[in-house]
Amino acid sequence: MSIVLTLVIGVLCIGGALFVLTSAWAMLRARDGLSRINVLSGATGMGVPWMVTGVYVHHVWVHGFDVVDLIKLFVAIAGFIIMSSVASNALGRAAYRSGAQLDPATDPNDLA
Amino acid sequence: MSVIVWTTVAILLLAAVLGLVRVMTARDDASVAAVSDLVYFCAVGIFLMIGMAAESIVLLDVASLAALVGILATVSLARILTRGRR
Amino acid sequence: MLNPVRTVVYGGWLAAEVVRGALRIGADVVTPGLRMSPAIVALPLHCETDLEISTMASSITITPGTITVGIAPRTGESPPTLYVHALYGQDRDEVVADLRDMERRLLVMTRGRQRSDRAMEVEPS
Repeated sequence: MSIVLTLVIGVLCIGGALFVLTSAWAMLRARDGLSRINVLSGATGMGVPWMVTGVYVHHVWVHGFDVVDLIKLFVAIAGFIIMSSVASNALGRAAYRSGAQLDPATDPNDLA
Repeated sequence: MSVIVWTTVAILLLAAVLGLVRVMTARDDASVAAVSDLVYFCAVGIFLMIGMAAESIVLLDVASLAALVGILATVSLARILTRGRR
Repeated sequence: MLNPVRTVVYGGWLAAEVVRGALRIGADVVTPGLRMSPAIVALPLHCETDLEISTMASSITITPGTITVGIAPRTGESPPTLYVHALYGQDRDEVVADLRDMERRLLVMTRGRQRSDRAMEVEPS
């Protein structure tokens, strides 16, 4: 039992961290600010929720099950996903409106 | 368990350092805003992992609060990018 | 009120899309050579209510590889329009087809299958 739980926690935590690392690496290689905001959603939409789920599994394992904790988990996951997408919308719009330098390869560009 | 925790912390630290390297080389405002978001999530993840190693009981409260408050920083950065216009 | 079963189905499909997009970007950045060629495309929507439009904008943003950079509300004859920044935008038709598929699933969640099919048959206006 404990081996299975450890395996689940390991896959969730390390897998989530790898999503974050993928986003960071993509940020390093992307060519303009808008693309960097774009690749962030892999980290926020999958990486951090996975890590929170891993923490929840560990919490249940060590401290026992409680309905309130399950609600906190759902609040955290829904909050990360909704918060990050709304924030990225605002940030992307602000980046475009502030006249950030676009990748010259951006084509087609319907907003130009 | 400690292997999992420290592997995850190492990966997240590497991600944060990659983001900071990007800030050193590309200084346009949009990139800085994106990287600040990434570093915020790395910090939350590292806190969760170290708390998990210590078997802390407040981690889920911290995670839900971080999820609900994190939008403030990003939206303020968005306002700064547009110089206060909406 | 939303049908909870359909909401879960849409959420599961969206989660799979997020993983797929993240893996696509990951496969691109870890191999030498960069295939990214960004594009900004206008997407006229079939969605009508504020809930549908904002859920559509958020779903596009949460998928790695696409992000909403602007929302134009309905003005006169022109439908509500999203401006989508796509990371792999070499082919405009491919980008729009993917987003249409997402919109169809979203409308199935909010309106049910029959009304969604009827709405998606015609061009947005």
